[in-house]
Amino acid sequence: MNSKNWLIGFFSLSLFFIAIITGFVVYIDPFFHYHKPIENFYYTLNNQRSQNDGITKHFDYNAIITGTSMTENFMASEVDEIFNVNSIKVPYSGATYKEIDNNLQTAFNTHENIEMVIRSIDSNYFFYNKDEMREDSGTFPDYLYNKNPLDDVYYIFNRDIIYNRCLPIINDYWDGVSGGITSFDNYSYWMHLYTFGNTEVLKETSEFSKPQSEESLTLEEKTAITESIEQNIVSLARENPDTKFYYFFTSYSAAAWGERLRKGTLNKQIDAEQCVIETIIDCENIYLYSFNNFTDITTNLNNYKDAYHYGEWINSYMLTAMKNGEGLLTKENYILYLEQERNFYNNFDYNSLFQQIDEPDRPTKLQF
Amino acid sequence: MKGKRLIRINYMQFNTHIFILFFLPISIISYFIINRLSKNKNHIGNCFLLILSIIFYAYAGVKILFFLIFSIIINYIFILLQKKINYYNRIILSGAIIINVLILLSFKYLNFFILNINTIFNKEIASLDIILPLGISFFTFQQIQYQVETYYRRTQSYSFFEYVLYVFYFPKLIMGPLTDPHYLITQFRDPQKKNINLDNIVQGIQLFVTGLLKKLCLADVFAQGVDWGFTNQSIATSGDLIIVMLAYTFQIYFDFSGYTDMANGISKMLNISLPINFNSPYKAFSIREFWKRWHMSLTHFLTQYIYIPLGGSKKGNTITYINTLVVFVISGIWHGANWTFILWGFLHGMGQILNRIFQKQYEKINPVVQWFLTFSYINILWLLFRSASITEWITMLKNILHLSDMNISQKLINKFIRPETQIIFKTLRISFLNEKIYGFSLLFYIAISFIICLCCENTNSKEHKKSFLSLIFIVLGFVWCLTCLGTESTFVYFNF
Repeated sequence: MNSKNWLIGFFSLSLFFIAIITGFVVYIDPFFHYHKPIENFYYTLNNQRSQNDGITKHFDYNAIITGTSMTENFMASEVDEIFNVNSIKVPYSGATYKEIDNNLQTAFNTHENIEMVIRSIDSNYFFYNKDEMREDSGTFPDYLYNKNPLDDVYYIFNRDIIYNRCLPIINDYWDGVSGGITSFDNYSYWMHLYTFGNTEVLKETSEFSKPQSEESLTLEEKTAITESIEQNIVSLARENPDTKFYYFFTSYSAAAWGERLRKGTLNKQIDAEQCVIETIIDCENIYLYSFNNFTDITTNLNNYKDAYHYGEWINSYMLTAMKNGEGLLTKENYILYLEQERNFYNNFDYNSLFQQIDEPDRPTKLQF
Repeated sequence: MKGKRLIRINYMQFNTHIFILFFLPISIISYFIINRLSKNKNHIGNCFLLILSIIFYAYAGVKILFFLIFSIIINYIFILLQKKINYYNRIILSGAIIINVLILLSFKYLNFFILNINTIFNKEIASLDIILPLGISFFTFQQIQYQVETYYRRTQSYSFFEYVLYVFYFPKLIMGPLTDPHYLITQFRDPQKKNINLDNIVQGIQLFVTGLLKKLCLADVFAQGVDWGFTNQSIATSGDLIIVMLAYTFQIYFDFSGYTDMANGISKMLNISLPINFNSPYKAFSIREFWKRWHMSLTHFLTQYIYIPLGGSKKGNTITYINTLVVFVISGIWHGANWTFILWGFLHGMGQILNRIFQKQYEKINPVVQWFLTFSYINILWLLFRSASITEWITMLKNILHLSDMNISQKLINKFIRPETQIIFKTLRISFLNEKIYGFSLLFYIAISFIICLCCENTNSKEHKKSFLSLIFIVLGFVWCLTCLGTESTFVYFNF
């Protein structure tokens, strides 16, 4: 064979195989980058940053549950039942407000009939810059999010996608596994991975002490918070007046508040919360909830796996509360709410938390 | 090593999507189109090669590009000084070498010095955040090589542009091979090499794909096992650690020789030959022979520019041994900023010396035993090369030598059970062996590696056939490699 024929053979065969691989990945599409799931195949949902964008773009739904890990244990089926909607759950563990807003923008750009959004507002992120993204714990798959078709090669020619995603899907099909996806109840659900109770929550805390000095909210911080909330939380609601936005402050445990008190940031945090509330409260289609003053929940460490993360029964409890309007902040009640919050968490005996006894039996549902 | 704060940069590696699917084909095609269209082929072609090399290097960031340009300017001032004042001026040459070595030391070894000063004098000097310019070890040696060649009046006719292209030439810029300026610039000047040569394109593709296969299908697989072993030393058995040591021996070879094959292949497509860097090193029967086969361009450099100027082997045995040790300790330092590298170099030097001293007795030993002794010594020293500290190496060695538990952990074996190899097993209908033979996948990789390293002809000396069979092998290899590129992005968040 001469060189010319060898090269013709090389390029034509290579292009042929490249076309086959491309077709294969695009057809199966385990991250839903090009289309919704193929009916006959079973898709496992287990990679938020890679799959949420495709779910948001291509699935059929009219309600979204989103936020950080604090929303991961919501049961989409429960949301559907309580609010009579067809929801997707697309949480982004550790996400900033900006990242969650980006996903919601995608949802509203691709779907016209979104009736409802349930979203967490993590108070630990109040002070983040309005455009900040989490780039500290992994490489963000930009190729799935941008509109550049050339960098789709990172998706199509990808060892994990081909061998660990597409081929197992085909294998399952041949083995007779029914088509479908991981249910949104189970997607990102982590309850089975952790132990709850004060032994876990306080394992790195020896005592709660009073602060040496107290920090206060500066004018610059206040401006930055307002800008961030306006850009990443309020503006989307204003642009979509027909959609109901159920937002809630994530109810951290008393241990987290005790830590804030120790660091001298507790009152600053509440001042920041006031700033957030005042930026949101005028927007009529945002229903802002807080359960921070439901102190039976926050002071019972059996509800938590660490200082921040509550169990699924709290997620469930919050849904019912939202349906019934419990914990809703309004123009009329928010000042009183903040006063009660400030008063309680400044005066609570945090060291009494060490006396609590672990309750191994988890409640499945709190009585409302 | 605690306190190490070198900032490494993502660069356009040969085994990435952007290089294989965009940069390489666009570069090769446009290079020959431009050459064909231009009247002054040499000048335009070389200019284009330089532009390609700058784009390749600047992909990692413009800052480090400026550093390389700065290094070139500084060196060229010394070259001009040598030309203007006196070619045989040792002071200027020494100045140039010292400046280059100081630049290398300040980037690569400053934090290592700080760490040692802190340890010895019980100080707490903070480590510095240093951005390590890509390929600094390689291009610093290339600059030194050019300075020495200038000293001997061997670069008289080369222009500034040719010098810059010699340093920048992208196939060898990041990881060599270290190339003699005359060898490369003569080829840049040859107008015949500006015309497309289909034979070279075929050979280049074959070399590139072979290198890619070595890297993606072997080195990266062994790397998984090695990483597991080093992360789980406390639970690893003696058997595990022997496998980990062997795996690293194969990983480093397939990684580096794979890279060199790719570099040679790319350069071949551009009609430029690069020197041979590997000649089946694990076939060596002695440490001396190993170094004639491993990273040959570095060995040549160190021999030419350090060993011989020190007197080589012409000043008696003692001086020869000292010179050998000096060369190997420098080689160790060049490889990395850690005492492990220095000891690694020293022990290789000692191996060479012992080879020399006991040459007659050694030659009488059965060749199989010679090979086994050499291969074992190399293995043990690669373990040191990979270790984070000498203490870690000693701990692992002790564990190996105890031979207390020769079982191989399932978790280590699992690192070698790859979905892509399972497809090969299914195709060959040997999947059942996974269940019949414990650790079959691991054995498969080790056996394949031994066959490639010991039984196959070296890539560089092999005749590049243009048969139908070679076509099928290379196409399948190329497509296989494409499917092994990249990984899924995963995020590890804690508490949010």
